[in-house]
Amino acid sequence: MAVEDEGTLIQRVLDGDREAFGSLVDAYGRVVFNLALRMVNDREDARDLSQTVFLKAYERLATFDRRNRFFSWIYRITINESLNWLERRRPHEELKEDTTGGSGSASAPDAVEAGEDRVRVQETLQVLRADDRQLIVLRHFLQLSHREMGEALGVPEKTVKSRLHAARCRLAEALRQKGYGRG
Amino acid sequence: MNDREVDELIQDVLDGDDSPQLAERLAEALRDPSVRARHDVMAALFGRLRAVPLEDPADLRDRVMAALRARSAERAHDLPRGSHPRRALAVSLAAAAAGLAIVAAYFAWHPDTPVGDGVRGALAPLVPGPARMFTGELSAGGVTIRLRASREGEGLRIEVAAPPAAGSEVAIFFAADELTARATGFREDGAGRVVLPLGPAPARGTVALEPVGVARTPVGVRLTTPAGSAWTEIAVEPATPGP
Repeated sequence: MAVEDEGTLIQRVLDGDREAFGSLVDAYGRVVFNLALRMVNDREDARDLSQTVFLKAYERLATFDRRNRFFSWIYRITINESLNWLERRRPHEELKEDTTGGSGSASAPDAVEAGEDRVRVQETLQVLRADDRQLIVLRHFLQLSHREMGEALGVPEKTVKSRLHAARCRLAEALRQKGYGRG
Repeated sequence: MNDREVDELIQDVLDGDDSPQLAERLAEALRDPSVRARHDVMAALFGRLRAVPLEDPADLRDRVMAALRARSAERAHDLPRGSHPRRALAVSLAAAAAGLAIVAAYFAWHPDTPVGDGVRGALAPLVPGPARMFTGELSAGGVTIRLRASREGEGLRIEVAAPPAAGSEVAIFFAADELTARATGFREDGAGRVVLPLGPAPARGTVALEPVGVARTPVGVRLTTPAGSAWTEIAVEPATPGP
């Protein structure tokens, strides 16, 4: 979304045009949902979390510093909500479901294999610490640049890179330990 | 280069840094079979992460906007008495239910919601099935009420049990153009709102909500005490078309 459009929409919402907020949901709903989904690994919880994120954003929109970018603000809300959710969750809750987008055509071995591998990756992501997981999700699933990640996480770009390096190494090692290693 | 520097070099290149300098350093490093092996592991990881697709959040906009409308309606009720027209509460069930169904109902539960923040707390979707029911507690100002919500026919039935709590009340908010209510123990308090006053004795009340159209707006429950209030929502979703 263009910055001008975003700023206009935000102003309209602040002026009382509630429906304008729907356009912000359209613009960011997919990434917010996917961030929540990969963090909590449960579609229904991710749907509820996404709704909560946008309701909070709406309630607090007047406090949003418009010198910053809206996406980094709402990503941060999403991350905080996801981390809160993870804290509340029972510590040894089992993996609830396949949240990896399905396995494609069940009759195609490649598709089945690809689907199974997505399950393995998602399952292994849950083994990582939440702060490692959020780095992987922001970079690899939401395609944020290091600078954008830094804005969303409130840390310098250089810190993002070093933490991301470490997170990837831990993910690769976790996959290996689970017997899912490749390469 | 030490191991860490090698890993960083590998990841920088895989991550899109295609400067000639880095490429040259990496090509040099890859002559070492152990570096080559680590590169292959990391390259495979990048590929596997790329293969995980993004998903679409079905009806997220509708859910958010419905919740905002419900919240707005709830706040409108906070205006001074007399600001809103009163409407009759009891409406016939027969006409209301004809041809309409609520197939999925989810209950958003916020037991620790602080005053002025209605979206904090865990959300607990109701498990679909014939025995859809949700029970929970809502607390504010040292008062805890018990809530039980269940499917009843094509509508919802909400039961409230409260301890002695003078000066407190439980209010249930709903979109009057989407749902009609039959209440026991509660009193009508304007369109789309019924109230169970709490006093020196335990109190109980029941509200049966029936759809008069496609019900989208969540039902809100607010406990108000002299020391604070708490809010939770019960989201009502329209029927999902079958395959």
